[in-house]
Amino acid sequence: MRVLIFILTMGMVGVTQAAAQATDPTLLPEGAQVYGDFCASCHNARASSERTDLEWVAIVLHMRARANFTKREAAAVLAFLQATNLPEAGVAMGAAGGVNPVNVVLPDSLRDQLIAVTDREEGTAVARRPGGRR
Amino acid sequence: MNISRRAVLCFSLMILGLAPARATAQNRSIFLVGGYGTTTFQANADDFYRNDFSATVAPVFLFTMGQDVVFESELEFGLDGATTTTGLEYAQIDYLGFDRVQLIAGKFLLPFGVFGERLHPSWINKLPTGPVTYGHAHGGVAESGLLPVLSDVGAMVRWVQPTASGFRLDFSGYVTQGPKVPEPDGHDEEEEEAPADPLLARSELAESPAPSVAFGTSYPDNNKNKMVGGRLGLLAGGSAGAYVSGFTSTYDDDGELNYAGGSLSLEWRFDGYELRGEGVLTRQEFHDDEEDVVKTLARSGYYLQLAKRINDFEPVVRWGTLADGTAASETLTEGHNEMAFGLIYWVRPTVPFKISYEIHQDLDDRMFVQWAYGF
Ligand code: HEC
Repeated sequence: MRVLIFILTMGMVGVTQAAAQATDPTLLPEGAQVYGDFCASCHNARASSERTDLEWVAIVLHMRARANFTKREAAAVLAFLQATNLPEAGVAMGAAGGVNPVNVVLPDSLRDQLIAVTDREEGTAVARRPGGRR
Repeated sequence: MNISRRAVLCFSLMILGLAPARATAQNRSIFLVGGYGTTTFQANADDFYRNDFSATVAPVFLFTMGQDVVFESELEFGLDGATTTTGLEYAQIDYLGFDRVQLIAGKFLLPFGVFGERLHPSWINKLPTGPVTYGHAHGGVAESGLLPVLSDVGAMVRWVQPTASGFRLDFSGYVTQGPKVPEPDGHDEEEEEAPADPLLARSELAESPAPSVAFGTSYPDNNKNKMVGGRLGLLAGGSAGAYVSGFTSTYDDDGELNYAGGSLSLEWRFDGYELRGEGVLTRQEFHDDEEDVVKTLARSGYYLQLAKRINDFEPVVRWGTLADGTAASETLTEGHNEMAFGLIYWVRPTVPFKISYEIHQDLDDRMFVQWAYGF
């Protein structure tokens, strides 16, 4: 039994370590900011649920070259798009995408969900709404 | 016990493996098709001699290799009489391994101004036509506007410097094949016989002694000279930006006659309004055979566009003007004013249904209905 717990704990440590390596806690809020500030500055914002997580990898590289984003900004916005790639996000962000190109405001329900996702993934919440200007 | 312990071990290993697996999935090669399609109806208001339906499709292909390298290309298919026109808008390899520097090679949209590189796809452009400065066709000949949407073969470096205060510098510098005079027969013929657009026909009437110059068609190049250019932008977050761009090149076979351009672009978004403007200047040296001297044809133009998003609708106004083209105070090409009023209904954020009415000085007014679709 002790061995079992040990193994389980090691497993959990592994998960958190790997997650921490893959993303750092400031990445998602930064991604939300990049999304809000820039992703609707040339065209209407695109909903994260429009594409699969993997497709976003390619599109974000494309947009990085087109809009001259830093590697860091691209990684952040990719993390944001993947974290918010939920069916509900599609409807909400898609609709919001057109309303006001600069201030893409997520509805509360979606924001709560987003906070839940970020909480689960790395223990930090996206405190500000994407695009909401302080 | 033994079995369950093994099961737990397996389970833990699985969990251990999961997170890294998610990260490496991003390193897989990904092939993706994007792009856009357009259908347009154009009516000439005065004598309706030409009312046309047309359609284009422009597929974009992306192929990534890991997180740092992407190949991107766009083809443009359009209609011209019995034939289908094809164009290679861009085909470029981007190396994105550095944080703030990008290396790009191949055929790419030139960062001259902002419209050509960033706004011209029909699902992004808020009116069915391009502004008067860039002409209305996608071909390579700079005849109907001041310049075409520029795309050329070469290499480019980009650099970006964000600051904590939210401002950023956005720089691109490039070396490309440059412009040349289209050959009377051979590959460039199609371009010369560009559709009988009244605007084109009109500028041909001007019979300028300065030859019209084509961009993105110089393969192989006609001279040793390469075109060198760049653009520097200062952006305030995503809501305002100002860019200066310029290029210089030679276009004749001897590499002696200069063709240079400069541009200033502004953009500002506030409360659902979007204001954009771009001014362009070109200087073209040419040999005046009558007087046996080299003269410089100076041309300039600008456009201003204001749009306001109201729920799913977006009214747009665009004002454009081309000044007379002059060389040694002699007018060689006639100027032209344009006013366009449009209304977009956003069926989806990438599917605009646009109706516009364009008033062209001394020409037929025209009406457009365009349905575009961004993939
Ligand atoms: C500098 C202007 C600009 C910015 C900023 C920008 N885009 Fe784009 N985007 C474009 C253009 C131009 C195209 C069309 C590319 C084409 O057809 O050649 C495009 C196309 C797309 C497409 C269609 C698929 C594709 O790859 O062509 C998606 C999805 C997209 N953008 C998402 C985004 C996201 C997400 C962001 C924010 C990270 C973003 N864009 C920021 C200019 C921009």
